[in-house]
Amino acid sequence: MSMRHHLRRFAYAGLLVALVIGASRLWPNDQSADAASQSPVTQRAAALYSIFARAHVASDDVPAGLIRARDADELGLEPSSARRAYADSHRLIFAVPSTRGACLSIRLNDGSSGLNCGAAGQPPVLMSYAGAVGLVPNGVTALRYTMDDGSVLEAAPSGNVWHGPANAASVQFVGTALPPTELTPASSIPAGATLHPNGVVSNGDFGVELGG
Amino acid sequence: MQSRSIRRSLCAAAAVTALGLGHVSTGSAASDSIIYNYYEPAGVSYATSAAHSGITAVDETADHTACPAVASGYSSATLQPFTNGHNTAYLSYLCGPGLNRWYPNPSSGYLHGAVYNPNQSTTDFVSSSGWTWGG
Repeated sequence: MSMRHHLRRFAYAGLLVALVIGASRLWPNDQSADAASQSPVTQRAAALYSIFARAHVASDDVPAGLIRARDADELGLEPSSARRAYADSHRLIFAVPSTRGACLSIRLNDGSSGLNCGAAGQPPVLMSYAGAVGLVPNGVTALRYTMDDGSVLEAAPSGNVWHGPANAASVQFVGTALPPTELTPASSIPAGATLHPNGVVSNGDFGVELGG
Repeated sequence: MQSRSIRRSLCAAAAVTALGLGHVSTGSAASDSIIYNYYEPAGVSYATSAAHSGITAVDETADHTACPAVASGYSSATLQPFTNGHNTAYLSYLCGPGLNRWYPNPSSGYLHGAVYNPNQSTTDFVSSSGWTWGG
């Protein structure tokens, strides 16, 4: 076999290797592509809440205008890495990586919105008289609810998300040093006030925009 | 004990108002602080002295259950936010520890920015709160 023939075979082999490497970059595995392209903020959030490490799906897209520029700037929010955490007929909730760890952004079906970024070292939570929704850190496998009648109920989170019963007065993440989080059971709605379908509690006539 | 606590809160709030902290005005929108470093007793709502139409944002940072709110019929602190001619509205989802920010659909009515502590037993520490209107 001639030297020229060897060189040609070597060149063909090299070309094949280059094509394989190029193709793997064009059509990468979804999970590793997400991890490789994540910002340091999202990577830190994913280390706490693996919901941010799962592959993005269409329902994770944050509606236009939900994350305000002011919030993105002040809180270091990264809406492009958000993941849908919870949805029901009244509310749509997204977990959003932040320089504070993670925040929960909520959009109500009347068009109003809000967000919670938990206290330092604590996961975010969106309260509700109909059952709170919050994030739970990786590794927590059980939640202990204390009900407004004093009884105790244990339940497992759904991934990094928990949705408490309407009559829960507090929740504790079992096996962590995090303090219990006080909740707002349905029985604690203030006297004289009314809970509207959009989650607003009021007694006065603030107009349909607020009252829902 | 409770009246002393409220008196302490009122004094703190008066000091904040006197200092005029945090006022910013840009174009037709304006924002201002509601309270800073305020120990808000259980069941108390604290409202700003001024009222404006078109409130677009209310926020607060607290250690417990305080929530951003809007109010009419009163200013400063009240233990009766829902009676005695006092009207208060808050978004129940935003009554947890940390930073809570509410973007209500702007109302045409003249309202006060407020912070309400719905808890029935614990004084909350509100480290900051602000509101934005107009624009």
